[in-house]
Amino acid sequence: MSLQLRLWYLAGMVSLLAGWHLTAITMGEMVLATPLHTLAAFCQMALQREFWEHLLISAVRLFYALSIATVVGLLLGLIAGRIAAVKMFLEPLRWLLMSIPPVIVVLLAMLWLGMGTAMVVFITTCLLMPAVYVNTQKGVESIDHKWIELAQAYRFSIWQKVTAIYLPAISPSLAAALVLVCCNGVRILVLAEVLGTHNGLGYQVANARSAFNSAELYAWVLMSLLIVAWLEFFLLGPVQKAMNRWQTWR
Amino acid sequence: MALIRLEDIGLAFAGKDIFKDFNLTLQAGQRLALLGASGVGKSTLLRLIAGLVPPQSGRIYSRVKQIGFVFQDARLLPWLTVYQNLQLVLQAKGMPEGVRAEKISYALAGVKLEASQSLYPHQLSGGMAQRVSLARAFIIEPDLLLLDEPFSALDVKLKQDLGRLLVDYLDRSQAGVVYVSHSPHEVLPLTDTCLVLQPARMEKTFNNNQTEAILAYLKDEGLGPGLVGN
Repeated sequence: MSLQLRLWYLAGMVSLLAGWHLTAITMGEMVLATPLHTLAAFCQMALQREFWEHLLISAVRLFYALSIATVVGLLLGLIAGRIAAVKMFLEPLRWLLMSIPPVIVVLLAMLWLGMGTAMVVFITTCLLMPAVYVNTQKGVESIDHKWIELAQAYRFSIWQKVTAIYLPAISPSLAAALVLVCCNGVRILVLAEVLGTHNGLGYQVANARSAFNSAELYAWVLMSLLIVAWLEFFLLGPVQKAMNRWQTWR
Repeated sequence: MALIRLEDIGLAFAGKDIFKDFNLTLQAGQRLALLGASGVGKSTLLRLIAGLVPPQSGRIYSRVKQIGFVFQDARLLPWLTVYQNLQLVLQAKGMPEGVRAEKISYALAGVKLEASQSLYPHQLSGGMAQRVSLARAFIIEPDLLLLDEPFSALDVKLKQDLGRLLVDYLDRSQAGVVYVSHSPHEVLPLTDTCLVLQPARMEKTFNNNQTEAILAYLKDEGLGPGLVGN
């Protein structure tokens, strides 16, 4: 990225913080804490053991949900991309999961699974999986048939077809799916935790809101943003770098 | 011993019969030239033999263990290096890892591309890519080699160079061959039998010591000056 573009990025960030500060001053601290007060509350929270315990619980839930959604969505997408019957069989479920409002899924899952980790992981997985599934399935469908012919002629194993043809060929759409999954994963996780858990990041958000502790509330929001940033930088970064190696020929 | 036998094969695309009650037997080690005008089904026949297209009727009996297929385009996986493209077919054949490197070096030396093993296909010229494609087919030591107009997109000089590589390989190999081409002069010296496919399904089979008869037949059948004159 050139220096000029970095400066534009920096300008956008400074404008956002300035806008936040001005809005907080205008609306009052009860409604919106200033960036400085939010940062102070964040630092104070970070010194407490309880903060890290709640964070760890949410991180474990997120790990399970992202892993299951990615693996299952990828596998089903690969199969559905090659077998039209499987695609048609899964189509009603895909439509349902992509159309139903997340809050309704949360309410239903609370009825079925009660409150706690199982419910949060179930909801987050169900709502993330379609993004991976659709991107993979569409990617596989658009693979040039000549590669499939090559694999058939030389009798590649299924593993070779997946690793040497399907994954490299669909890597651009898969990379887009992983970005969606990581960013939306944190959003859905927090939503589910706000409504149906007794611990975790979302629960702490709900607590801070009930106590009218605006600085703490925004400190937890800041934390959720930091999780997304961490995922993008440390998880997606290396994965996308690896995928980019498949695209050097473009 | 028959390497592959096609019995009463029927295949139609968009309501048009490509093959109807078509029969073909290829013996082990037999080298068959497939000639015919464009659209007559030469490439489709290769795909039937390779199992890439299932017949709509009839049966295919095959004793083929390993097929080497050289397509019209080089068809190298663009995200893999030359070395990795060759390694992939050896893996598919189940060859142990220790033997692969030596095999690949030998195969690349055979097509004079030893120095290009770490290049990607987009870094190769058309002729180099097709040489890798030939090496990929040779390296697995196929018992049936299918050639689908492998040199059609190349200029005359490259055709001659690659033709020599093919002749060298066929001299050393016992593989059966089905070689599709528009050019009798390119394909007849490398094969021992010639099958001329006709749209009306009046196939005609020749021994390749009857070159004059084949050329006269092609001319009589009006298969075009492009076909006969190449």
